[in-house]
Amino acid sequence: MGFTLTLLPSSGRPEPPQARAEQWFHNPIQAITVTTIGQFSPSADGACRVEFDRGAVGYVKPRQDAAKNPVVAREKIAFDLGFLLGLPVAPVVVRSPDPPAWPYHSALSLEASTAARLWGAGGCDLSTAGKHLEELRVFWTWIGDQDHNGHAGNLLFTVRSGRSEVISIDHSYSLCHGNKTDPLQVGVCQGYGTAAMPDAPAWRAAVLAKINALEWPTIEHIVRRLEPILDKGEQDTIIKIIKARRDHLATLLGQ
Amino acid sequence: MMLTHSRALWRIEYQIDLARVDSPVIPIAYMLEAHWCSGVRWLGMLFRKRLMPLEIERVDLETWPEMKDVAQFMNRLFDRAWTCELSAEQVPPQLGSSYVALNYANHSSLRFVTDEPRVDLDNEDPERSFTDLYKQLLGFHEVLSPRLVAEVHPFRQPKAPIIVPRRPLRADVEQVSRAA
Repeated sequence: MGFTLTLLPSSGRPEPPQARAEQWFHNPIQAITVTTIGQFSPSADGACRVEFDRGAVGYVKPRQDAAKNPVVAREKIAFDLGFLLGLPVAPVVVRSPDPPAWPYHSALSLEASTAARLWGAGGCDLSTAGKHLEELRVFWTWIGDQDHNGHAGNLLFTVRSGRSEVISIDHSYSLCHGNKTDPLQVGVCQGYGTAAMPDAPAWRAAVLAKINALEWPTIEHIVRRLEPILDKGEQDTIIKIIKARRDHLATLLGQ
Repeated sequence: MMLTHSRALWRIEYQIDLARVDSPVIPIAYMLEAHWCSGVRWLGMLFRKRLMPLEIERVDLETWPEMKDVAQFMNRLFDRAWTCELSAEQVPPQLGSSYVALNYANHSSLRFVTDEPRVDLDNEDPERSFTDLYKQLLGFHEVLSPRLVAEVHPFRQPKAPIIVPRRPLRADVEQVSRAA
């Protein structure tokens, strides 16, 4: 049986966010040319708004002059694991070095919403966003994230048909952020005020089951495939953290 | 006696589509602040009182319901910046506007973008700078003019000459400032 493949002419528009998320998940390191369209933020690693691929917008970190930096791997691994779980995490891809301006690998995070507001601006409706936020809290706890404890600038939301839809951004301070000795040093993530909601235990249990159902070789592959930016020792440390925290996740969450 | 000071100028704008670099931007306001070590502080804001219907149509009002009444929203942001609890000991002094701006940073449709204030502040007598600060703030009136305007199609056979405005639309603005 034969089939015909018809190539439609390109509309000149960038890919929709979901298609890009899949493409970035399957191709973790890519050569992507960017043009900076703002200044680097004064945050620890520095992030800068950029244009790429015919007018799409994203954020690149760390600063161009920053040395080889584990923040790139942490951002990428957090997105890949979130993607596997179907959680609302902003897509991230690793950019190959693009000298002389970008001598090292960098992380490119997609601006996935047409309109959004930061958590700190107020107005997020927990009665509609609660489920995703509690699922994210379990996820942040799993990956040892220390920057989603009510942090005003690391969570976005959009309102669609009366429902607040959240997107998690900035996972630089995850995977125990530089701690190489005790994978359980980082405690439970406080998240954004959903832990005590009446349905929270059921939401936690469901995402916990999803995390435990992820096949270990897949998780390990997500880390190992970043070999160009993580040496063997760094890969082993991250894998140890992810494994130990998954094994203790239910206990950490008091489930 | 030489005093140190902090100052900041914020351009406040709404980006219609965050995910597209060529998406139009709606100018909303300017906020200017100066804070001297002696405790003297000046905060001013020039903002549009209302948006044009064409602009309102492009705002995501579900996500940004405050934009229906932009004047009230800007007044609230001004009050928040003015009443922000600032440390008395910090050198250089803290700015209330910087704290408010954190919640309207990158990734947010409504953004506080830093601009460079073009005012030389008087460290000897801070109050002498108030006039210059006020003058700079009022100078932004033109920049707040609406950029999204309907296309004008002239009649084919006009009976009277068409009057084409020599200047672009000017925004209906309001200013608010406080000093202490």
